[in-house]
Amino acid sequence: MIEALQYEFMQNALLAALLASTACGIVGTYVVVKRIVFIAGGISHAAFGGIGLGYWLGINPLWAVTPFSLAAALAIGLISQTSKTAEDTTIGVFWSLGMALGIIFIGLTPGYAPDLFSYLFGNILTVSTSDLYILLALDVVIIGTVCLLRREFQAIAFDEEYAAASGLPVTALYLILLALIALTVVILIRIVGIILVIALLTVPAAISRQWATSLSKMMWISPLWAAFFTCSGLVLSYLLDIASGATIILIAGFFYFLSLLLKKVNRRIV
Amino acid sequence: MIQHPIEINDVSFSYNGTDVLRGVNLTVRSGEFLAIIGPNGGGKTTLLKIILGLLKPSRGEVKILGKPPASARHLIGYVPQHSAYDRQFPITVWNTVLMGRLGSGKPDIGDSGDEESVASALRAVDMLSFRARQIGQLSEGQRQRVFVARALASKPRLLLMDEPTASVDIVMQAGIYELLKEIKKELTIVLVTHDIGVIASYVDKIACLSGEIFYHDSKEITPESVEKMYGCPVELIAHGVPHRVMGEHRHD
Repeated sequence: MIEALQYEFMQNALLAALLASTACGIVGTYVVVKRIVFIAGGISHAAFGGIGLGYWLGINPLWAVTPFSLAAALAIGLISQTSKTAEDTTIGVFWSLGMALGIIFIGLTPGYAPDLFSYLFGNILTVSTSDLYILLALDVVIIGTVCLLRREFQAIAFDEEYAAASGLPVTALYLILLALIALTVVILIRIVGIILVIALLTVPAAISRQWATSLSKMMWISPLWAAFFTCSGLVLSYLLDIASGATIILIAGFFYFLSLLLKKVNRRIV
Repeated sequence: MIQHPIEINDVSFSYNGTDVLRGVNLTVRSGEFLAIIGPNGGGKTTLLKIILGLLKPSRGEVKILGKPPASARHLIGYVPQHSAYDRQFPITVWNTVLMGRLGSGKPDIGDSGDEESVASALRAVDMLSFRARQIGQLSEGQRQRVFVARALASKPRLLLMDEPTASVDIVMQAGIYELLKEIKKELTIVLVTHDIGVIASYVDKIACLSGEIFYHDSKEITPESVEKMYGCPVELIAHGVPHRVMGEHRHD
């Protein structure tokens, strides 16, 4: 294992894991407390359209998926806030619409689509140095926005109607939050793939929520859990020669149930 | 010209083609404590939301201290009906009240102003010693006090409350009304409730709302207005209500 760390692909993979953990721990905190897991799922699946678009245009899919998932997030947010349709209906439509577009784009692309599987299920070992720069830039945007707007985000997560009554621009804040989710999805796609993104957005935050007493504590603890899951998953998948994305999620799931159990035992003792 | 805390002129509101409010007129003067009572579906919460600027009336005009509602939000403290929030939300009492300081135009902006306002609001509702407690660890009545504190933290001129005692037991209800009695020395209060029993001994005026408003500029509830409102004679058992309405209840 130690000699594996000398390879650039392994160093890149670990760096990518840490960058992704930061984003998913912080943004996942809002996803969990505001109960918008399903929206996050919709955005991440709609992002597949962006992957397809990237192939079709012949550019790095990460470049195409960023504007694409941002657009999907804003569309879901605007339609659910302004129309009378139920929010989950809107999400369901975008969820499948994005994936359908992705399939059409890939079909239009001549020849074979390499790495397609890795965008669906992630392949952290193929993260390039230029990918790392994209991840770093997205992290900076996410952390900066959360630092600036944390009180406002907390208010809309707690009670949107009260936030509106106190004069906060609730719709704008909500759209910014969805945009942050979209950016996080882009980061996570490289790590665990579209299908598994939702686990890293929810499990670390859900575990820390069981023990933390404030949003800011959750935001410190969740990235640590996410880093633990991604790094240990990476190592284990390397040693056992199994899929890295799926290994990460299995470890996360295991610790989620362990934490639930501990919490129960803890409550009984106290 | 005097700018009243609330001036509502001929306001109507319809939702999905159904009239919820019809030609409502209401003036609340500075320092008054008004209760709006009425049956469920009578438009009480809708009227509050119009006053808050969360809903736009389909007709008529609303002025809050001379301003349109949307630009008067910093003058209003709002205590919503318990519901929209998650009781297990990881947040302390202090940070909950601090939320009342958000939104532009509130007095004493800045960290020290926030600190001072939150502390004095918590002191006013007698909850300062609970400041580090999680919201989820409080009783329903204590939580309601925290939400009153959150509304007070913005140093409002007008306090709006939606069913402040809906989920609280009778002892706690009395406690909340005693608290409001203290608070009303400094600001105008409007509360909405279907609990007509207790309020009369605390409020200055009562308006009855059931699509239309029946308002006599006093706290006398006349048999006619209650009958119009509920569509049948209602027995009012209340302390301090000048009229006891004990109309005969006929089934037809």
